[in-house]
Amino acid sequence: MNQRIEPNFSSKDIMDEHFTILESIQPVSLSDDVFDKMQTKLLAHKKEKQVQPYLKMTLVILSIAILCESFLFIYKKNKATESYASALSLNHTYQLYYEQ
Amino acid sequence: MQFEALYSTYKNMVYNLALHYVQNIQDAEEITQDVFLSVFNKIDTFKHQSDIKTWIYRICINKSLDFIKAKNAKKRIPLLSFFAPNAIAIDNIPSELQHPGISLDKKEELKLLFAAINQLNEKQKTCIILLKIEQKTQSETALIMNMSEKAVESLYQRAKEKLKTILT
Repeated sequence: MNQRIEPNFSSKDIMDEHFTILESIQPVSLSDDVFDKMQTKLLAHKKEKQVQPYLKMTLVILSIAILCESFLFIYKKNKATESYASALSLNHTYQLYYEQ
Repeated sequence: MQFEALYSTYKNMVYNLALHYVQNIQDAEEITQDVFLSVFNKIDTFKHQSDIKTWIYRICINKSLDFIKAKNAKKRIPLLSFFAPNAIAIDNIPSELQHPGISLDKKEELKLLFAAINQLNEKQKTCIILLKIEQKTQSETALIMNMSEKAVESLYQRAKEKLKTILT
């Protein structure tokens, strides 16, 4: 199961030498100040995560408000045009009536 | 497992793996931070289908490869690469090999070796790092890379052949 890959070459070739050098790389330890730096990032990230839902909610409410405002504006404009048109046609009817 | 406990258990494993990918202390430290930030964010979604160590290994590999891609994208000038496509290979040679695990007498040799490894594709590079530097077994490598053992073996042979061509 835990079988290691052995090179296919019968004689020891140049790649085996290279790989022996690679195997000589020693594991190193991470310095402790990296954790402090990461803690700062982590805290900023936590805060961002806390604020994010409120920010999203505000954005959604704002978008809905803008959408409602636009609909209201269009509705009012249509209503105004409609009443102006009806006033015009009424005026025209009166004119026709008086001309008669 | 608490995040602090996870960090202290796997910090050196992540740092060393990142170092093998980028061969630079600062970059490896940055990748280590990114990996643990990712672990912190995704720990709730971890389904325990695989070992946590394997899961962290995968995150580290992905973060390291993303980091290298982002760094190369910043370096590359599109016009230059259009006129001289071979110039991209120069990027692969680390300007200064900053690997604290390397002894001084082997530094020059390893600089050339890493320059060759950096020219391999992502999978081949991961395969060589896991098998030859991390000294993982074939089955462990297959598990980390989410591949079959046979696929890992053929990937290793292809990587070895390519390295041989580059180095000779």
